[in-house]
Amino acid sequence: MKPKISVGYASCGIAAGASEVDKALRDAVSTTSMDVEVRRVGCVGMCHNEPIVEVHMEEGVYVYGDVSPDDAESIVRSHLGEGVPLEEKLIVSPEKDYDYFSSQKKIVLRNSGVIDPENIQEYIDSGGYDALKKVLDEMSPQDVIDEIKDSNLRGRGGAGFPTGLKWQFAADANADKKYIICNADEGDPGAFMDRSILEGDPHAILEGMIIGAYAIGADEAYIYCRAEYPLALKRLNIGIEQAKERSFLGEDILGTDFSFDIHIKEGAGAFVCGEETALMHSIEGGRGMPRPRPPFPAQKGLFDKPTNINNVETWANVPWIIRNGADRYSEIGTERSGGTKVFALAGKIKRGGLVEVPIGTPLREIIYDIGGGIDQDLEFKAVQLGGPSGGCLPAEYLDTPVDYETLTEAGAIMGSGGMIVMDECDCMVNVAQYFLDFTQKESCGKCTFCRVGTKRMLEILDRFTEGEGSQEDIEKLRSLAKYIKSYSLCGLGQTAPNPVLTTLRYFYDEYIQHIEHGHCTATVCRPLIIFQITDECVGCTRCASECPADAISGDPKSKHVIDQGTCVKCGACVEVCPVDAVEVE
Amino acid sequence: MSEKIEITIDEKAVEVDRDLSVLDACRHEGYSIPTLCEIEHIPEPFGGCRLCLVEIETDRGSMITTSCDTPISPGMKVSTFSEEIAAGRRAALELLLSEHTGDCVAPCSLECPATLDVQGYLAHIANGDPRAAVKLIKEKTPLAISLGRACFAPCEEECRRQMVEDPISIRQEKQYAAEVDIDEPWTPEIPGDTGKSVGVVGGGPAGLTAAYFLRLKGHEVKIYDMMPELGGMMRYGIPNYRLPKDLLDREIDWILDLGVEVQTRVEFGEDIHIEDLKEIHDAVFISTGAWESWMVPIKGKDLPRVYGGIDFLVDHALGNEVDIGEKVMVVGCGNTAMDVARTARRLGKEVTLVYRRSAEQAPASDEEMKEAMEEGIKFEYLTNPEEICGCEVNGVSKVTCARMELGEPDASGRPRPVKIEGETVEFEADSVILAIGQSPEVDKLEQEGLSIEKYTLTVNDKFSTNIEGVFAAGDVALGPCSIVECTGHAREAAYAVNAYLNGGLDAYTPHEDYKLPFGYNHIDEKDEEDFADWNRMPGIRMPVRIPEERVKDFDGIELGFDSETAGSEAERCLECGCLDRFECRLKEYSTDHGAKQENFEGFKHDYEIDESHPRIIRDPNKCILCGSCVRTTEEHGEGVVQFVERGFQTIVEPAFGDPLGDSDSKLVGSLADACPTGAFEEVLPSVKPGPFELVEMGTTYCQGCGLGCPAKVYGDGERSLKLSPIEGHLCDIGKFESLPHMFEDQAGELDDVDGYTIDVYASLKATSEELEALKKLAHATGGGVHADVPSIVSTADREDLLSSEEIYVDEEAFSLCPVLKDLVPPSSRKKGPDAPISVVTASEDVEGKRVVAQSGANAVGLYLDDIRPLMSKEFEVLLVYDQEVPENVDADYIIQMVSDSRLLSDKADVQIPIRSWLQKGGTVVNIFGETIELEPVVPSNLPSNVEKINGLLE
Repeated sequence: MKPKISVGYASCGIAAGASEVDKALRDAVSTTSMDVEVRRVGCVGMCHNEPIVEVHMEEGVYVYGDVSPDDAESIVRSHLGEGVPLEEKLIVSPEKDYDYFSSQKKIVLRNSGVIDPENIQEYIDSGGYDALKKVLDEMSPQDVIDEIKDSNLRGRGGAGFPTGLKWQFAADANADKKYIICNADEGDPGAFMDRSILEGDPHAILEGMIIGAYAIGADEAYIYCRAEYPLALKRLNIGIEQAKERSFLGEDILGTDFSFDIHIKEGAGAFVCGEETALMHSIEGGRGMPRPRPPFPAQKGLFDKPTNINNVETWANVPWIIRNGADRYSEIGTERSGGTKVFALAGKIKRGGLVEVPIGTPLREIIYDIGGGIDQDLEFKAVQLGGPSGGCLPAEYLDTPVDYETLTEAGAIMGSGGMIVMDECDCMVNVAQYFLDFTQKESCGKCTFCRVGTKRMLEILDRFTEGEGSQEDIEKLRSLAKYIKSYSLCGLGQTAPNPVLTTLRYFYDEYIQHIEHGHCTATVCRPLIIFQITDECVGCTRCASECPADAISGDPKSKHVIDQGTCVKCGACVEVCPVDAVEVE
Repeated sequence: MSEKIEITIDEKAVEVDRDLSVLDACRHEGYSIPTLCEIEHIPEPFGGCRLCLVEIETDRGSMITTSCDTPISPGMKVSTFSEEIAAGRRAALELLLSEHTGDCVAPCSLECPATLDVQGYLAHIANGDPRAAVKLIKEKTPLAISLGRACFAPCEEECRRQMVEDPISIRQEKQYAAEVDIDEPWTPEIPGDTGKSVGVVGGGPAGLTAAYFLRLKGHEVKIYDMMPELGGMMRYGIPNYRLPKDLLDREIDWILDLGVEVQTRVEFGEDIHIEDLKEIHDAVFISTGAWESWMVPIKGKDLPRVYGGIDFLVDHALGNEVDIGEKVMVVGCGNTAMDVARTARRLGKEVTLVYRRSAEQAPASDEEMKEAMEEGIKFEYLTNPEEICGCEVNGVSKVTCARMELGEPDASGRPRPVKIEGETVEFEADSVILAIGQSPEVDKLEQEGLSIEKYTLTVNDKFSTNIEGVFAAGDVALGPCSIVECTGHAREAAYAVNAYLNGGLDAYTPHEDYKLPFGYNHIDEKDEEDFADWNRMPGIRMPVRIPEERVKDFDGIELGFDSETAGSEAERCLECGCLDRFECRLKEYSTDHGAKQENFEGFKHDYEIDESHPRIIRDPNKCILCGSCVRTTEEHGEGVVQFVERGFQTIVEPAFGDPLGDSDSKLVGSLADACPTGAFEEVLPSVKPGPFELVEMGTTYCQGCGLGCPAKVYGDGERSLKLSPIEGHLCDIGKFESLPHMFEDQAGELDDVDGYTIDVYASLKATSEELEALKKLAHATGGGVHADVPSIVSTADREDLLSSEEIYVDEEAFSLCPVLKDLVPPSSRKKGPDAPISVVTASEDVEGKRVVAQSGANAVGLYLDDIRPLMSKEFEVLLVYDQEVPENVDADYIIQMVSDSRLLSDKADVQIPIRSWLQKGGTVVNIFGETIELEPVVPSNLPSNVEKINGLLE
């Protein structure tokens, strides 16, 4: 086998410098006479180690992390030329396991970081489009639906509706035309599962959609993807072109009389467009505003035609299920929910990145075994699941299995898979405020509870973080949350209070601290904290010259003092003090 | 016929169409469910306001949810109301209110104890219609004249105009209107007798008010009064120079002329008792006032020539001589003290008024104090009498007073006057009149078995005393108060009595404009800064007689406004109250659900109000984002306004934030029709738009173009002011351009045209009947009838249009008949005339099925009647009928018969008024060939147009 070098070349890798590394590797290779192929692959999933370079040798795979362009030459000369790997950057080797990978189960991310996403042949070589052939050769549309039903696959967009059942509704609808939509409008702050799949394995999504179209009888589809994902859009376009060339897409697919076409619709980045009715309205050319359901899209969807809409991750599961069988899929995961879930692990974590685990895996395993625990070994405080519509769970939930039911019971949601870990330096009131600020600004403005209600909740939280809240405000917050959850028009409003409700439920004391004592234990809420200089001060004057508000005075070599009235609580003094003499209370 | 299914609404089983939403099913069955975002003719629910909550129970459980977007299903149980449902709706309303700004009702009206519609009557005066102003006032009180002269005008204190410079002279404006009305007073209709009778004891402001409103309900009323004449304190307490008694007499006579019986010189508790009254009447109304002066417990108060303020005024009014010597000391600084002091001054006395607090705290109005000072009355503030000196024989000789200073605030919030020890001052005085307060004569009331509390007669919240069937209002129940307080109190009490007489007091609930001021209401907090950019226009006060003259007699001192001054003063009104006050559904639902604006208080936007359109004001601060306007224009494919921004910043505005006035849409008026609040408001075509509570005068077919859309006509009963669509839309031609401008006075004399040939040039709006008469006239003289009839008419009808999925439209046709857009949805509009059916103008001759848009309401009728355009340019006599006189015609004599003053032309030798299309009946044929019967909706004094034409023939 000829050695191969793969460069993780998704947005995240590129941002970390993958293109420079890629160029350096190619240059290095070109100066040697070695027959080495340098490839660009999708996201490997280890955000914490980007840029990532894999070296594929006869004896196995070597993974390098934090590779700089300067390392390129060493890797090529030393490892490929002399057989001596670059130890200090080596994460995985045939002799060295890495539990970040070994604890995961990759179905959706099976090809991401492995194949070149812009080359359909690599997808085909890995078994791609076999599922489509199987479907067209051997299965009736109903067989396909039954297979998906048996797999226990549930929608990965957030709500977890059984996918097979959804397909059945669309298949049963009687109409001259039906549509398929891929919801690629990933909008949760801190979530990037879908982007990685779109960039790393676009054909898996296309193949899933083609199979879905066959099953429900659709002949046209849209992928709704935000324009902020240029690389994903580029690779989707390439994928569609290549699939058409190979007759996986277009007229008379693979010589059958089944025809199907996919369009890409670029979204402008409104969070609410991830809501299916808003998304459809946006494709139709209107403002992204949800409408009441019923009618559900399966009855009356895009352009008033029956429409099946699933998200990226759901579609990417489909070819695997068809190829490997529903039984193998449903064996993974829990009784009520088959397969795996991809999470975007972020926050105060040692090893952040994309993580795919069987549904039902406990949080502790994800955060500690895969994620390596809390950054700087601080105390775990909470984990925010499901993005801004989700909830914050405390330590007592670390051993609960992550599945749809448990999370809902705990007040969070699976959502699309955002997982943000927080430590003792995070203020939960501030966290709730942050997420609510996001949903509030992203409300489409249509319904009263969401548009005005979330604003009023946010104003109350603002008061709390300024030390101006009252017990009465907490009651008002609760009652507003109740009304907004119960009576909002769409999912955005119905879930917007979740971060507030879960933090109220699990971190009530912190609220009371803010309200009654004007105190923010985590020293996050600026109006509530005080910066003071202790006797440790050596009078180096650096804080005084750094202070943007000129709030610090003192003679050189004597203790400095902060004028509390002038202090803007920016924390610059803390940063520059060489002897840690600035205390924050 | 669609399939029916059975559901249960509020425990009642009903059968309804299967394809309905819960909201529509409930509405069909007569249940009212609040909603602010549903538009009846657009089937898809919007689901924005979230008000239409109901509880739904199916076999899958029960939940509270919105009804507009929930389809019914067999066996479903719906509850339309529960405390929990109401709480949800209230929360939605309160959230909407929390970002809503503006006053519902102006502060002046809110402050008025009788809740008079100040903004409304000022608007009428500004519009030059004082009679309408009086009518509006008389809906709330019969005492327009007395209040115009003697009200202490709390409205003026709240008037926002003072944040610009001066308050409006509201009382004097009322005086102007009331006195214009005096000779031929506007008088409400009295319904038939109910057979019930009420005895009203005491004919002061409260008694007269109760008598008036009880008569208006058809009850018999008899007033008993102890004094020789009616009027109570208005006659015996308020001096003539403030309220001339000849004017008071006119007001009282007008009330009595409604059929009120009177017996004077009969004293309650002496000459007549509760038992007698209960025997004679079905209900008794006590309004005996507060006639007892308070006396301070100071040394010397029993000396000769020490009087109570009211006693002195009553004696004076009765013409009794009161010995007050030459130097008079008046104690107190309220309105009664002013009356006493100024009366004494007019009797030629030297008057000193002492008051224990400073001028700022004085209860008397600033205006009265100023006038009193002008008249030479000496004011001694911070001075409190300690002893009245004198002897039993010679009476008062001097008064020793303590000097005071202001201390901490007392219970009333005013600084407490504190005696400065050792500082006293002596005043020479021949008499002392104590005008410090008064109270009802409670002893007599108690003797009659009536229950008393704190020196007033006890009444419950339904104005009922402890004796069944006996009610009370005014000073006797409230303690001494003003005319306006009494009249407001007594009006509401009269409604309670009416409920009692009509079968039970239980049915009585306070009227919206009583205590709960006008139902749900909110006030826009404003200060001077908000008005910094306004043009300063100093207020105009009525001219008064000069002090040197007026102290010589008791004649009225105010000299009146002329109509021009009254108008320009009224024009200064800032119109604080919302123009949508009488129609706003947000206000209505908020009242129903007890919503409070302050419950979810927070940031409010401060958007600029867009007044660029001549007839529609856009105030985004009142927008509730219900989307009705957006949808109503989207429906026509013309997006006049749209949603922009997100979250709390979301706003509805014209594209690119352009001014509404720049829109070239002819459906801008329909934004106001669609808007449930005052965010889009139609401004009536007058100097001041009110708001006025318009009455529905009838239904008609708009004659703005050849489409003939059905419309409701609203106005004040005499004039039409507004057209609204009955279904679908009315365009701006219909709403704004075709409301007639009345023309009622003939200009010029009609010459004898006997023997001349009369040719007629008729409007395309002329009815078929008018046409017949015109033809008869013309033919009889050898002339003909001409009109600018179109060259082609429609070959397709309404059905053809509605059933076609592909229609070619010439946009010009839409500008002639904008509501055609209702019939041709954007999805059916095709480019290119090869569509099976075309919508065109008469200038575009297309083959095949076509609808030809016409601007003339009866263009098709005239066409079918073979009327053709003018061929010649020279005439002996040309009768121009209901349109402009054409240029380039040469006629010896031109008669213009016209209904709208805008059409008048100088070229006409005589201009004869005829009835407008809202005043006449007749037949027209619309562009679909449908015959439309017009009914007269607006009254007119003119003979019918056909009679008028026939008259010319004679």
